[in-house]
Amino acid sequence: MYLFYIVSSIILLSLLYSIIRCFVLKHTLDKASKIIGLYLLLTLIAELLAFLGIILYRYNILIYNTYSIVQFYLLTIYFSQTTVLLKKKAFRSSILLLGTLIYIEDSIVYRDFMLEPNSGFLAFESISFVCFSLMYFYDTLNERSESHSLSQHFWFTGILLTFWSFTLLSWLVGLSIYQSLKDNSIILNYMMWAINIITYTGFGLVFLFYRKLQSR
Amino acid sequence: MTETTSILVLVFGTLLFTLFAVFTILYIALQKKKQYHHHLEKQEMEHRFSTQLMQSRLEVQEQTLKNMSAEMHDNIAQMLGAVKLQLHMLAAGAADEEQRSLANEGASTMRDAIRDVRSMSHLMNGTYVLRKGLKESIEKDLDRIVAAHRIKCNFTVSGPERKLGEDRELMLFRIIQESVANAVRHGQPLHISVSLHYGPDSLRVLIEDNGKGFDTTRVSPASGVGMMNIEERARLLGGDVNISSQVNIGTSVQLDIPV
Repeated sequence: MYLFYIVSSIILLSLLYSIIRCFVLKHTLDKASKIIGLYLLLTLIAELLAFLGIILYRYNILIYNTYSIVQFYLLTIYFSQTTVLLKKKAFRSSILLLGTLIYIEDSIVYRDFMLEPNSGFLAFESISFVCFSLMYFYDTLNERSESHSLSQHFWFTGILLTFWSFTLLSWLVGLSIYQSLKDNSIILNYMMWAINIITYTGFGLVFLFYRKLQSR
Repeated sequence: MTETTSILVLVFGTLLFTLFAVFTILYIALQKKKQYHHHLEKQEMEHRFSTQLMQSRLEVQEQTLKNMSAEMHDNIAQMLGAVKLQLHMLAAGAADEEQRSLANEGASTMRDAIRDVRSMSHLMNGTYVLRKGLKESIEKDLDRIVAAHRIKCNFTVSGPERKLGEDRELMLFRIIQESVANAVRHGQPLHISVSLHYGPDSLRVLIEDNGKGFDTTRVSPASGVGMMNIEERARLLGGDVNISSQVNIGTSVQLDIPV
């Protein structure tokens, strides 16, 4: 239980640090970074509510299920700022529409929205973000390099790719075999804690060195 | 599937996916670094090429000036000398006073012309400039301007003087010569001042005139061939040239080069 509190504190502090840093840098942040800042703020709120939910009612599925669609919209809009293909309105709108349809179908038709995680939508979300990240890297490789260092968006995308690659398998496989794991589900928890720490401290570090990364 | 197998599939699968992400990031980072180094190398090669091109263009220019200088000194000045001698002879054998006075006047003008041609030919010859040194060559050029155009010139040197090296001194002299010639040609000033200030690690050259000046918002200072030569030479010297001008107030050319 101690470990749970330590991990939660690290994640919440990292999120809090990134959000404060966003406010401090608000005049220097570009639009895409502001979207990441908003994403982190909403993640913090969702995580806090989920934390309270688990402490008070031992329940938080509703919060994560509601937050997942917000997260999908925010990150798709973020990638539409940095990725050539997603800058095209028609492509972006199609992805958002498809995501919304899958979300509604998964939440209403296949699962109990109040009791089960919408893993079908999560799978679509994970695959989308892994693809968007790879598309961004493809664009980065094709653009003429004027700088020896990598931009803040390279690191944001790198963190998102790591997080969503992990989520893709851990959620998909993890949830489908979750019932058979019994006590060993602790391993799944450890892995999720680890990736969350890496992700949110990663965002914190990018915001910490934001000015340096931007000026290069 | 047993519980242990499920765990193994989950752990290794997830690790594999995460490793894929990490390797992708590292691969892109390395590729970007390589791309940047390639870009730098290309830029350096382009810079080296343009410097060599500029240098050879200036060498050709210098050689042309030297040939013209030799031609002026050995041919035109000699011919003018012969004409001057003939005018003296004409004056000596003149029948009346008016003819003598006219021939003497012609001979005097011819003497001035020979002096100007010699002075110009000297200053066009790089070897001569190098032998005399930067300071003396500037003084000689300004003396020529005073004599030929009746423009008041002054030249000051401040700070601890240092040798810049032959090629750099010649290039610097050509910049000053071109700037002064531009001032005379376009500004019609009454006064030109040239100053050299040796700082701890740089030399500041300032050429100012009180001529007609020009509107820098309408005419680019670097649009003429002369100014382009000045800028190219300044770049080869590793310096910065800054031209400012105001209509009816004058023009100033400021050059800062590392020494």
